[in-house]
Amino acid sequence: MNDKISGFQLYSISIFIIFATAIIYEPRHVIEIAQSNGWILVLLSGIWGLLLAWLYSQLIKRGQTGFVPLVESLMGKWVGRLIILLYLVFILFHCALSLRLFTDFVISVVMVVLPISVLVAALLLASAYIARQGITALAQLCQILIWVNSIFALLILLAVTGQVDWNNLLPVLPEGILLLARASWKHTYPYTEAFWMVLLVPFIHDKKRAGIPLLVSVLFAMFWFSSFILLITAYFNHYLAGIFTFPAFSMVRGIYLGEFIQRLDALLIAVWINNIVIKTSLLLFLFAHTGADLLRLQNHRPLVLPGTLIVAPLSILIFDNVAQIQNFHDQLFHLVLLFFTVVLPLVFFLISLWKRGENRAQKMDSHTTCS
Amino acid sequence: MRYLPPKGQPEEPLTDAQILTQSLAYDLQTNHTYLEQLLQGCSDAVMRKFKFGKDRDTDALLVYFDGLVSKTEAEASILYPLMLEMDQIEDAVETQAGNIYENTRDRLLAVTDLLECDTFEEVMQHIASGDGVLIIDGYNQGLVAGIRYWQGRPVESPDQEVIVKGPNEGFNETLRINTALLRRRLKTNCFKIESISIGRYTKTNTIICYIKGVADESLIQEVKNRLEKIDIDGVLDTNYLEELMEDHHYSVFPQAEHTERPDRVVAHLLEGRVALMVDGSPWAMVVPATLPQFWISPEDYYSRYVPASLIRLLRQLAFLITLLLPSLYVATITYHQEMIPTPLLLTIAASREGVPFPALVEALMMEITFEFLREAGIRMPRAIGPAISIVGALVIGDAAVSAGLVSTPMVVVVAFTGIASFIFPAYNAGMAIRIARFPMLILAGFLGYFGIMIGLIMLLVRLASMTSFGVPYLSPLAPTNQGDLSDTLVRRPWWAMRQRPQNISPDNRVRQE
Amino acid sequence: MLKKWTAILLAASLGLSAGCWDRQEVEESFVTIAAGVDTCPGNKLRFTEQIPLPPPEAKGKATRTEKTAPTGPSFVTISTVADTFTDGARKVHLNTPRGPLWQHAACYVFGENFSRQGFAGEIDWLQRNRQIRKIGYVFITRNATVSEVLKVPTEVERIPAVALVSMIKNQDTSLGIYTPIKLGDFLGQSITPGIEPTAPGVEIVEEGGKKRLRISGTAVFKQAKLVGWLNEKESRGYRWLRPTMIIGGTKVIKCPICDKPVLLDTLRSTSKIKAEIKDGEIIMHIKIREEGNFYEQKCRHQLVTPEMIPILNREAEQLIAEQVRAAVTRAQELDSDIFGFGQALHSAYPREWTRLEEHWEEVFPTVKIELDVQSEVRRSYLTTRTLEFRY
Repeated sequence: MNDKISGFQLYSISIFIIFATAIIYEPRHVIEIAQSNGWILVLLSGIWGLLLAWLYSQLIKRGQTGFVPLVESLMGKWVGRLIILLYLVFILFHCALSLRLFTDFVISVVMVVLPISVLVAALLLASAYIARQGITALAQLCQILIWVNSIFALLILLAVTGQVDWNNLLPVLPEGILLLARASWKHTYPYTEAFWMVLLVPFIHDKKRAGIPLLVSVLFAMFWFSSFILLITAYFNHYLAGIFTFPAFSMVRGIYLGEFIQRLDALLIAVWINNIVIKTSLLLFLFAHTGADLLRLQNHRPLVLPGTLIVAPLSILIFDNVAQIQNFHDQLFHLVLLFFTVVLPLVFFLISLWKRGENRAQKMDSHTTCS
Repeated sequence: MRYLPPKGQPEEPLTDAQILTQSLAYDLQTNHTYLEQLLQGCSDAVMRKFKFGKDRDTDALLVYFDGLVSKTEAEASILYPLMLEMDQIEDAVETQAGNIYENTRDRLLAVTDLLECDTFEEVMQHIASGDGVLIIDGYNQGLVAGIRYWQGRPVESPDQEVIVKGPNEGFNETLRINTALLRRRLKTNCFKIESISIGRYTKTNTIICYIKGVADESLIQEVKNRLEKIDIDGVLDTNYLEELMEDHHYSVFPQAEHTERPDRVVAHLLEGRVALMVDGSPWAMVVPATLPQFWISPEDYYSRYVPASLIRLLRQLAFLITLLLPSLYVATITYHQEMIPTPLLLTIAASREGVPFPALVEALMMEITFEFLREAGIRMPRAIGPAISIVGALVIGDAAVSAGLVSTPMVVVVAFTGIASFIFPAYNAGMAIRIARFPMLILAGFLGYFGIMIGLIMLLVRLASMTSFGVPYLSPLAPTNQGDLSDTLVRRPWWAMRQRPQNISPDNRVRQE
Repeated sequence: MLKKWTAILLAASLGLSAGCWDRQEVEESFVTIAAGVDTCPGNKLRFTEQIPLPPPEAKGKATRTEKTAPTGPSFVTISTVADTFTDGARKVHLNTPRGPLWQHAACYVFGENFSRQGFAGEIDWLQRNRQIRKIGYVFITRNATVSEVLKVPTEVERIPAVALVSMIKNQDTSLGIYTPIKLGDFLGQSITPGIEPTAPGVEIVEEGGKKRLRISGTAVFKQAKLVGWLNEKESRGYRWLRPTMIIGGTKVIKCPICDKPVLLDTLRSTSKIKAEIKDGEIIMHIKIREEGNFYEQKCRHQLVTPEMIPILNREAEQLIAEQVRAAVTRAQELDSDIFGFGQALHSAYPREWTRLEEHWEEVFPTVKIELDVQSEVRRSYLTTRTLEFRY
């Protein structure tokens, strides 16, 4: 009874995983492209995100027993296993990448001298511990921390609102909405992280209605992204915001309320650690769980440690410098992510539709022959 | 077996263990010998041998432990009727017809609690519990007369859980008085007090209290199962039981609530929990326990809900302060100086001038000193206690500051943390938090706020993965139950308290119609 | 069990090996409260910073008795000569023990000569540095070098940098001449097309042999170079056009009856700039909504009456318009778009702006303005009728 996750917990996990690294890197990326209309761009991408959330909820409905059996039944045993193997590799890579993005951020702005290995080790240690405890503990953790993070995010927004110049948001849509709409597919990728919820299928309490928390989490993510980018653009202007590596952080640095509430950024980054720890631990858990499913193991625990041991060096060695990270994140990352979270799920979905149609046809056939 | 010993004349003396398994003999002399052997070295054991009956020809033996029985009652209700009043009824027809044993049992012994016993083990158990056992010559049964009486504390107000307003009776060391205190508050047959004896030597009387129909049946069964598995030589306090029964053995956090207030126990029983008490300890143990429960004081329910809610919020703040304030201070002044307002930073810098230790070491030193003082204050004999109380701590702190060993802000932080740590209504939960703050401090010293956050996440996940008798330890915070949260973070008004907590009693939840 | 111990050991070794890389104990640091750069012969920079000394009374009990006794200087000002800003900031360590805490810098002072040469090269560092907070205020020295300015002691406030910040803030809420600007805004406006930054000037005045700091003039920048100064009237005009709400300030008008001065104060004022292109001419519609209270009068005429207040309002509106015109004229003379007219044009005509942006320099002086000022006197504090002296 206790190893199921409720709708609210699903929502919390989903929103955490959407935000973890995107909130740090995505605003600059968006503002560079859409200038003062970045907030509209993320809303447009969010519409794609909503459609995808619906797609994921359909997959959840179909995969009653788990992701691995679902893929195996759809794609055939060996192709299915190959695809799962690809997913496992990607999960580890994604985990390492997210970890690297976050640690680079921390080391750039707060703890400059700290060797990256120490921070990676500390975060991974916590993540591996959480992943070992299982999804129930992780879900409960998310459920509590979602309040902490939401309250902090709200406080940031409120504190900044007093200091912005709304004129920076003008002009609204000088080139018309179509130009943005064309760019919007690219920025769908933060929302597509909700796909990882499909891998949690066996733990979801109410599979029929899993779509609601997913849709709500994408909606909330749209709200948060949009309002953050809105305020960043209004606080600096888009010229300045495009220069900063971490505009959201630079905005928080500028918070100034009275003589006392200022320079709160360290505290806020500390709260942002929640995001990354939850993301890496969830990905580690998914790796261990899916791997265990593939290998037909009873328990996910034995696979957590190997996963951690792969992620740790990978995340350190993956990039040499910050320019590479940015380049990869801006140019390539979304393509890879979209392949795994949009293209493949879409294929699964279509095949399942086709198969069901076939089944029904067969049934109809047998029915008619019988009668 | 080389030869059979002659009947009734054991040649090789039996060992104590062998005697205990034997049933009483018809012959009083044999019984007496065996009892003497068993009670050898027990100087407080009394064996009163006397004669009674029509012709003063029946031998009888009254065994008891001195100090555990009321002598006046033994005289008035056992010896007096047997030795003197026997004459008055001996002429009655029935008396002559029946045997002496039955007559004694049914007509003569004027005690309310009367049992019979067959074996020496039972005899020992009964006299150790404070009953008197009467053995009559010619009968292989003993009569157990409940004449327990010993010096104990009267019902006093509890020392540990002090409240301002509300019922003020506390449990004491006598189990029977405690059950009476409970029964007086729950005048229903649904309130069950099941008894079980635990401990090979202590034979401690342990009771399981619950309200039938409110407490979850599976929970009651689980508690009984776990109790039955216990095999230990002695039980002196409910904490023995907690450690033997808890779900997670490697946790500093308490998984049962201990209280010495009958009103609190009853409140918990009404929510569907199960209480355990052992004879000889004034502390009742209530399971299952969840973490949020530990910042709830019974007084919350005896005062108006608005002040009670505010005070409960205050306690949650104190919870966080005790856990985090020293680490936040250390992290701030070693890593994140920008967060301190400039004038304050200058002041702190000036006061840390000449302090030879890094802030982390300084904080650890002061925290440990504080723990020393607290422990000393508790263990100190009453007469010299006040001399080195927390006030003494302040003197030491002041001197340490003047000597340049520690800085003034650190003393303020440690003192404030100390005060906050006294706020918890539950002493054992306060202990857990006090322990948890040390790893936090070290993490803060090494990684600043990141360390604190990582520590907090690990702590939270540990707590989230814990259960207490199957109930998630952080409920109703996580898994969240909105209805129950309103009586956890704040205190729900009584008129809105229509349901019992969902996590404890999922089936029977209606409190008010 | 073995695993658990390994994990604990791993964590412990991590903790120990982690050491304390970014640790900086406060008693081993100094707080940089102000920093500045100035030119120096030989194409070098003179970097100056101000460090407050810890207050003596905080040093524990021992010094408590000496609290009243005069103590030594409460700050030190250190200058170094270097190639770049960072180089200068780090050369401070050649003659000062302890590490710097930059996060508390309350003001940044740039020398006049340095500003005239342009600080485009310094912006990069100021933006990138993670320790420099962009909430410190910017000042430009006038007829003095940075190190001279930062060495002038003030009586009321222990530290000149804090005094400067408090002066610029207080004059804004009570007097209302100069516009304080934070480093972040200053840098942001420098690199944003269609707006140029300004910064208040600070000069040293001699009063009875004693040096004092005085805020004077508003420095106007163009392409990160100081091009000129606004005087008091123009500075007031510039302040009315600030995009955020103005709180505080004064207006001195003439009594409609006898021409003696009457002082009205400003409670709040907002302004809005809207661009319009009409027949090839660029017109800026400037809307100012201001309200304040009747504060002081020198004559004995009854001015707080239903008849007189509208007249006072008109006078105040004229005064504001005059000040704004003066500021705009001066800015157009200097050819520096300090009001953000370009930005307003960008908002309203994004397509035209892309065309105009290239030669905004030539276009800006030809921009016309149309003023719509509304001023309201609301209340008059404790009296409505003035004291009628028999004279």
